[in-house]
Amino acid sequence: MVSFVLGWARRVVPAEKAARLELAVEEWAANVCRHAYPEGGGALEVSVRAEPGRVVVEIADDGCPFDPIAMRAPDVSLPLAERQLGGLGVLLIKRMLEDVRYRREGDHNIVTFTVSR
Amino acid sequence: MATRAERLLQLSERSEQGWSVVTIQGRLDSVTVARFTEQCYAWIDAGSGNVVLDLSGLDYVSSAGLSSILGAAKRVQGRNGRLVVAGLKGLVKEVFAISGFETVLPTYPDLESAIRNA
Repeated sequence: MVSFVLGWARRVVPAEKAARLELAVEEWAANVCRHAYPEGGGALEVSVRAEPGRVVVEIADDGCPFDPIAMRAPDVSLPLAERQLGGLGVLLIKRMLEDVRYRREGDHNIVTFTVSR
Repeated sequence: MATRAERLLQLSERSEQGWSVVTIQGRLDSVTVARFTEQCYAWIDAGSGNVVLDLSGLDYVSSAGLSSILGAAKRVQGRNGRLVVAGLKGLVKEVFAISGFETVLPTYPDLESAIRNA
């Protein structure tokens, strides 16, 4: 799935930006797998739209509502012994990409990542 | 035949001036992290204490990889050793900075300066 997105992204944006998108997609997919379906498996739908000068990736699931935009950033200044890694994936997504959006549509979480050239 | 994780991530370990030098090349992500964890933790348990992770050949790391590196650092600390990181670059350097790992783990521009100064 990640390589599918990366293949499209590399056609439109420079490799360095495609890699940021790749990271965001991996982190979000991992997040959905860990948290969206506490009772077992569920769907994850990925679509990629290559437009002139930008790539738009949309990832949908029908798990528990989860808004990454509203999530508080973890404290990344704690010393080694106290560090926990919860929330790091979402922090990376928000810092790596300029345009991250979330909407809840019916039973679906939909995140949209846009990367411009 | 090499597994997918073996193609995507190359690992090696050697001893240098009292340090266990673990070289990680390729990608440290959800696909390869289990392999890294198993191998690296075995090297830590067999080693003498101090570990340098040489990441100069690492092109990609996600939070799955960070989590395992943090676990490795805690494991080394539990054995009264130190874990330091050398050769961060590009996306990997950026991921370390955003995650605050550059302040949690001592980092050096390359392996030579890590061994000389750590």
